[in-house]
Amino acid sequence: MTPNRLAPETVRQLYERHGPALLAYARSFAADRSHAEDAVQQVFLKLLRGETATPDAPLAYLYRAVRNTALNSRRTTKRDASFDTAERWFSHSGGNQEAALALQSSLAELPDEQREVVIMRIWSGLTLDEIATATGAPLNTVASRYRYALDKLRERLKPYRTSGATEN
Amino acid sequence: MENHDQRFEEFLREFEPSRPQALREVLAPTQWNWQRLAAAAIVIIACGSGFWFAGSHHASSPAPASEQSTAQAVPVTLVMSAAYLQRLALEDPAQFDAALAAAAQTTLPRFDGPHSALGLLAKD
Repeated sequence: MTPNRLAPETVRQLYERHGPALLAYARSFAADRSHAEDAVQQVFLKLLRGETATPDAPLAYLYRAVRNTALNSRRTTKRDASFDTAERWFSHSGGNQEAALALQSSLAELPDEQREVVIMRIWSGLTLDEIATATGAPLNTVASRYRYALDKLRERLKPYRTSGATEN
Repeated sequence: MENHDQRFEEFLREFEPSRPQALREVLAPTQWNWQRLAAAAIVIIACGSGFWFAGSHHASSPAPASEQSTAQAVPVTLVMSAAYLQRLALEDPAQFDAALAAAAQTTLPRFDGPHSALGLLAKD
């Protein structure tokens, strides 16, 4: 009896929708961008090949699997994650590349567990509940991590926010 | 406070993470097998055709004139039995030599052909 597997079309949709956030997430664990890309691809290819049974919460599974794969790759290469500023993780919709670089370095400075909560919440649209499931951390812990992370980012990115968007 | 966070979240969403490369597609195993089978069939047919063409071309090409003339000159029905040769050697040495020379044309390696390695050695 073959295990249930996600339809290839569903896997591709997940990749289209969450690939960028997962890449940014993997990038914060992997040694460099190519290792991060490999980690994301490996996880999706396993799903496509049906090597993984259908996860109950696919998005939570994806984040866990990408994190583990990126960490394994980092152990294999024996290189720490280096946050090279010449490498662009983000682009700004208004073309403010300086702000994009500031966001990138601000994210890099966050502790791993805070950074992952922000990426999951902002760029993958997960709820705090879903993040708690994905990370295995209690909901209150996840909420605290998110609050601390937002506060730090808000402070660091204050110079780059337009006057209309800046709150007092 | 909630509104405060929401506005900041909106600001963060103005940034887009860079897109990964397109997902490397994986062929389904059955499709992969059919492709391998088709490739193997093509290689076999190509090799077979090549050998057949080379063989038929070789067979249809005429032999060099010198080879044709010697082949016609040698009696094909010559029997090289030990008893026959023994009798000839005792009764008619001259015919024995002639029979050996004629038999050598067909049964022994030739050294009078245009590309014969033995011929080259004999000249040396």
